[in-house]
Amino acid sequence: MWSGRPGPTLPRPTTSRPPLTRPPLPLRVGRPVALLAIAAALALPGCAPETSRGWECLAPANPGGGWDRTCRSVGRVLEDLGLSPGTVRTTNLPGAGGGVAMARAVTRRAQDPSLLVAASSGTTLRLAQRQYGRLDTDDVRWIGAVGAEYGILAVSRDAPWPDLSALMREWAADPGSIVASGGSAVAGQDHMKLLLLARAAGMDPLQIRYVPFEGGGEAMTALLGGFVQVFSGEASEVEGQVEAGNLRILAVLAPERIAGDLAGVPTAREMGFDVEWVTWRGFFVPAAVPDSVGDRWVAVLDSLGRSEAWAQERVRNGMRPFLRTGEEFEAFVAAQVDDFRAMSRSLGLLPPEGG
Amino acid sequence: MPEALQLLGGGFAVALQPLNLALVLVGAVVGTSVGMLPGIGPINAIALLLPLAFAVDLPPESMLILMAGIYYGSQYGNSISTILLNVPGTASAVVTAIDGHALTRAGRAGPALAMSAVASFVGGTLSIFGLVLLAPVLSAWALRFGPAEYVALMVFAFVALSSLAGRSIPKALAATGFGLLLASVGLDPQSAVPRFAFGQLELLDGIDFLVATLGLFAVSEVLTLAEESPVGQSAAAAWGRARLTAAELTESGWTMVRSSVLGFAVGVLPGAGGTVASFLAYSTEQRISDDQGTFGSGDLRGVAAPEAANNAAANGAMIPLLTLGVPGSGTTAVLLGALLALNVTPGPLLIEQRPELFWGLAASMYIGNVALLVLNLPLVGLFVRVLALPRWILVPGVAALSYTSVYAVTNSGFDLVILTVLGVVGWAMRKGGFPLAPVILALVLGPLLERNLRRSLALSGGDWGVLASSPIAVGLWVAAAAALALPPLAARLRRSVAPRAGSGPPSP
Amino acid sequence: MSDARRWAVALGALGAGAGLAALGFRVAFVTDPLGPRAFPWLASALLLGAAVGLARHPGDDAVWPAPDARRRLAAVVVALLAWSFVLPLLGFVAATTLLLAALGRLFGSGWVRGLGAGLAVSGVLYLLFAWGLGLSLPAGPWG
Repeated sequence: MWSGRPGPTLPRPTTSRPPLTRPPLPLRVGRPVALLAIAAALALPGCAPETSRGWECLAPANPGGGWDRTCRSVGRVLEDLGLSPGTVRTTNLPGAGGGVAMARAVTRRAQDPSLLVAASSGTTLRLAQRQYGRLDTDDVRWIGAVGAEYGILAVSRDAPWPDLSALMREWAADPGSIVASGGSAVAGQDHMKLLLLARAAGMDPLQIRYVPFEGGGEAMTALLGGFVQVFSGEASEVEGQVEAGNLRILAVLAPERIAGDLAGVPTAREMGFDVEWVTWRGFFVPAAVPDSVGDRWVAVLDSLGRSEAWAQERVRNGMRPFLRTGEEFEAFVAAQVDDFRAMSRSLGLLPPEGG
Repeated sequence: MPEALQLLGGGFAVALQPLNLALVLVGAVVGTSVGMLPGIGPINAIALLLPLAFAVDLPPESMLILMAGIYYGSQYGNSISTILLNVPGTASAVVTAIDGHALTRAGRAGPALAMSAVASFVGGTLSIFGLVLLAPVLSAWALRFGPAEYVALMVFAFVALSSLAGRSIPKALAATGFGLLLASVGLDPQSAVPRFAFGQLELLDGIDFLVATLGLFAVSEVLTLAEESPVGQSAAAAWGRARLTAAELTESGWTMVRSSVLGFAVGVLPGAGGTVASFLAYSTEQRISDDQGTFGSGDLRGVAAPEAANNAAANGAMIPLLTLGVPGSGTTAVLLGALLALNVTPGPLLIEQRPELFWGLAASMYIGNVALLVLNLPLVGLFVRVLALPRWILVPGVAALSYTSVYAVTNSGFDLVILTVLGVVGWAMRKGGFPLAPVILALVLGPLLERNLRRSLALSGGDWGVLASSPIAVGLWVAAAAALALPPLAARLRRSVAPRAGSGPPSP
Repeated sequence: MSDARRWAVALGALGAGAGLAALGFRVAFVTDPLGPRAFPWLASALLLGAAVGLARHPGDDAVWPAPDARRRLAAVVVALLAWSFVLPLLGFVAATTLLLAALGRLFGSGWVRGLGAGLAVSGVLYLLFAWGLGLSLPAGPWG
């Protein structure tokens, strides 16, 4: 589907090297200070080793966020494995929950063969909800995902529900009696998990009471403080409290049980609710790069994803194995966006048809 | 608590190991330097150093000690550039700018910088004792703060800060309204509706706080200076002594202690802490100790209060981070990521499971604070020399620093245009006698108030009674009412005792 | 028209405009009883209140800048905006050197001194941000 796009024949490198020969300085002209200043001003950036060439990873958020960590950790491993020409530079371009970075990859950097942009399920969700203006899935080339977390549902230690079925039974019987918290905005990832679950339980998703907080930590605090009854988030967010016995995880929204410390927690599917939430972390690149460049990115991410070095780094970042690249990943993204879009439509977040 | 002190002793054994001692010093110096760049702060430095630290395989406690050094070193750094150049990069620095930069203009930059270093030291040190002795108790206190309690706290903060309003009520209202308007730009997280974004992708995440403070303060200052006579040697003719006198220290002593306690208590609250602490400490001190009406026009206590509170709050924020796993700010979020990467799980068990980590960190914070004081006090004399630069370098330099910081953080030309527009707005507001602090205040507190109010009502199903349904909330409402009622009463009392009534402080 | 009246008109227009714009914030489904309009309306009420207050009790007029000061101000604003636009084209050091030289002139230096100082300051800033902190600043066509 990508090869059909009429791409330019040659990539125009936006990070050109300094010319091999500089024009000689006009030494005898007056005001040598000023000229020297201008000449040095032009020359100085050329001396900067890591900022002028090599690969660049665009993190669509401020330092410290998930996208930023994706860029930095993947960049480092690419460098260590010798898969990249030198260092991989991380640039933070926050805005519109990733929309500004995507817009830049579609416009100003559309043909940049050295640009990688970090993405996640948050990206596909916002795309599906048309929060990036006119941008759509086809405007970029999806390369691959290299790791993932799975959604979880947690309740406090002394909550009356022994398992997910009990919770959903009571929730469906009296939707107003239960309030859930999550770290994402309304219609964001943590909310969407609950909406999908409600739909799977045969409830009207609109009846779910969801209160958004600033990040998973605060949402979890609200559960610990007894202000809400259910927390929707990621496993890593509640790890410490689960270990201390203050919280219980009722279900993981994964295709099968997660190995390791969460092996005892059933999946939602086991409990009869066909819901999965993969918070994948991966990349796209500008769509206008030639196929050879796109294929190179796919190959690079593929070898990264299979490496031992990445496996270690992935664990450090609290991610579970999840490797999808190339066409498989494109299909995955397309299906995810369709699914999110249908859900958002049924909630009235999007106009019913053709929107 | 002899047991805690014994454990702290063990912590000192960890912190005083040569490697850790070196790391805390490196962190403090790097943090101070990076912190001087407005808005860059510790996040970037930590994000940059983290891979290096992993590469050399530092043990977890050493890594944490290094990052904590950067973290509170940067608290010093931004105060330095704010006091000298009026380039506040954080909400807390905005408060310091009010009196700090006024002191610089009055030729007393030296004492202001020294006071900022001493107050940071006092705030940092006192709060470490709080951290060591009260961590478990305080994490329980943080949990009892639900949305309704935050609403009461924000209302209290707004009321308490009416003292920043300046002399004209309509102008203060206008500034507050403008700040609220700026704050509501962007995608509303509680309804997924874009507000005042005009279809611009760049506006969907709202207006970056750094853009607002630098525009309203730094750029508008550059414009104001451009309007004044263009010649002149330097921004401030003199910078005063580089030392504090004993009288200045004693005068600010209780200010620092009170502000440290307040800052620490508020800093423990995730999500509100750091930003509110300095504002609250400043206004509290203004109420308690400003009998001459000098706050706002260059009072050393106006520097001491926010600086002590800010550092105390930074340490307080370690409590929810370590015991709940909840980051209270962007910086602690980076620390959280680092902890997880080190396979350290923050949570209620952390202190028991990893004593070397918790106590080593506490002890190294203490050492770091001493190091920062020892490093910074002698450097005050050096820092103030930046004011000796001729005006034609200094003022353009401030502009370039502000613009570069914004561009380096946002990478967006759009934000640079907003920065310029807000600079012009800030300049016009100064000309028209509008106070600038309420704009920042509304920008910081407005979203916290709105989100928590809407959360409370969503939780209660629309019942407003929820706002006063807990003892903490009721206590805060009473405090707010007192803050509203007491100053007029006190003023009347003072007037009846002595006929010399100090009018409200001029706005910054 | 006095200063205060002019401010009152401006604030009134801003408040009214914001209030009207907030009318258009339509939620797809109700998530909280207050909704997204309440706070913008509070802001617009404050602005309108301020406008009425200023119109009824005008204070002293500000001293607005003389024509030459106004030209200087305009020049600063133009220089800053120009920097924003030429930055990606010229690269950081060149653009910033020019900005500092232009601003330096407005603050009483000559071109030569201004360029020299501008190069020094922008070089330091570039090294600090790009090398020291690994933040990306445009290197420009010569990078």
